Formats: sequence, structure tokens, C-alpha cells
Amino acid sequence: MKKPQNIKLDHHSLKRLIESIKHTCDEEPNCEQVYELLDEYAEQELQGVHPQDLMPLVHHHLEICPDCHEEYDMLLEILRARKENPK
Amino acid sequence: MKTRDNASWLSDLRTPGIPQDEALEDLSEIIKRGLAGALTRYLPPDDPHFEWLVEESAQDTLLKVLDKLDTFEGRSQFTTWVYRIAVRSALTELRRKRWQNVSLDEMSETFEGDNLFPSPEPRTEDQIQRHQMIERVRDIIEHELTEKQRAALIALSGGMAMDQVASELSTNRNALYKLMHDARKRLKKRLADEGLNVDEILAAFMD
Repeated sequence: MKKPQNIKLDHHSLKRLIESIKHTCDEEPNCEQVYELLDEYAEQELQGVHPQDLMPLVHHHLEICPDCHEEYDMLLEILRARKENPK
Repeated sequence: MKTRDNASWLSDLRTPGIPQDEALEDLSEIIKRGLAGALTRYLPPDDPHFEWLVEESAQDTLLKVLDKLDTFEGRSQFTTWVYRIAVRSALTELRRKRWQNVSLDEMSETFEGDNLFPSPEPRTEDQIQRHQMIERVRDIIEHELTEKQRAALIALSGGMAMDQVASELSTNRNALYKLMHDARKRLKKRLADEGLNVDEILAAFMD
């Protein structure tokens, strides 16, 4: 792996990093731990149960990790479509 | 299609022969229908890769479902649990294909680092001070990060998927998350030690 040299973070990336630093907790679940709870979390969201309050660390991880957030978004989209058309 | 609750899904899938065959067929249909709708955001349905992706992801999901059946704890609907597996399968393949010919070195080389400060107009005293704060923070961050963390950060900022960055670094997604989490914790402490308030830093980004 070559050294990135003096590559500077662009404005947008730097700001996003600062935002993530602001919300950094000492203990955070990793992607696999969040993945194991995603089905439960998504159903709570669909039921209007505010999962961000019941599982704040999962919510926090989804705010920070774009890949997990993408998976959650797709899961939610599928569940909503199924709810609207339960055939 | 038979209507099943969690218990009957588990029972049918564990009963070899007709019950299992029918359950797998029904589950395959459910998975494909769900994925086909969701994947249109990533690929047009008439793309030659689309149908293959739906089929392949469904097959992969069924295998994983059978393998992990004993781990289902009933904290959600069985089909939700299955969809979770299907989503991971489909997105993993999409990301692999998207990034298969891109390396971390290439991400670094093509990372222009432009837009360091967006406004081209003559700056006021306030803007100059904000710019100086941002540059000070940028220097701290770039000196604090390890080479590995900086390479990962640049790649992730460029939109590269976690799995691909992890693979490039010969690690896995969880270890990569920990690497970046450690970096964020260290940076948080360093900024505080330097007397820099994160909210004030973020306010400095406002144009």
C-alpha cells in the first residue's frame, strides 16, 4: 500500500469526520452486532415504536456507518412494500 | 402460497420432503419479490445483471437461512429475518462488482482533495478565522491518523464500501470499523486536549 503522501481531506469529508467525532461513544457496536439486530430494529420502526430510543447504540451506528445504513434502508423499503402489498 | 407464522416456517423448513420443498419455494418467491423491488434503485430491471443478481441473491439467502435456522430467535417476523440476510447478500455482490477494479492506491491517487475551502470570494475577518480553525483541525487530524487509518478514511470518503476497504487492508469489516472507531476516539480526545470545541469547529464550516 503506497503512502497517501500529503493528500488533504476535502471540505465535505472533513466536516463529516468532525460530525462523526462529535457523536463518538467510548463503546460502539460493530457492523456484525448491528446486523444481528437490524430485523428487530426495522420492525420497530415500521410499528412506530421509535427504535432509536430502545436501541440507541444501533441508531448511533447507523448514523455513522453508511454501509449498514444502506442495508437498513433497503430492508425498510422491502418491508414497507410488503406491508402495502401483502400478497 | 401457504400462509405461515414463525413456528410453521421453522417447522416446514426442518421437515425434509414436501414441507421443506414447498417452504423453500415459497421463501424463494418472497425473497425475489422483495429484492426485485428494492434493487431497481441500483440497476434498471432490463439490465442483464438484474435478473441474475435477484436469482443469485435468493439462492445464496436460502442456503444461509437453512444453515442459520437454529439462530433465529423470533425477535422479528421470520420473513424479516430472511430479508435481512437477502439484503446483505445482494448489496455485498453489488459492492463487490462496483469496486472490483479499484484499489486503495487508486483511490488515493485520484483523490484530488479539492474544495479544501469552497468559497472563492474575498474573505472577511470572520471567514479568515474560520478558515484558520478548519486548517488547524485538518492538520491535527492528518498528523494523528496512522497511514492505514488515513488510507481507509480517504477510501471511505470516496464512497468505497467497507467490505472492499477491509479487503484492501487485508482485514474484515468489523476490524475496519474498530480501526476507525479508535481513530475517532483518539481524535476526539486530541481535539479536546487542544482546547477545540467540536460544535465551534462545525460552526466554522458554515459559509
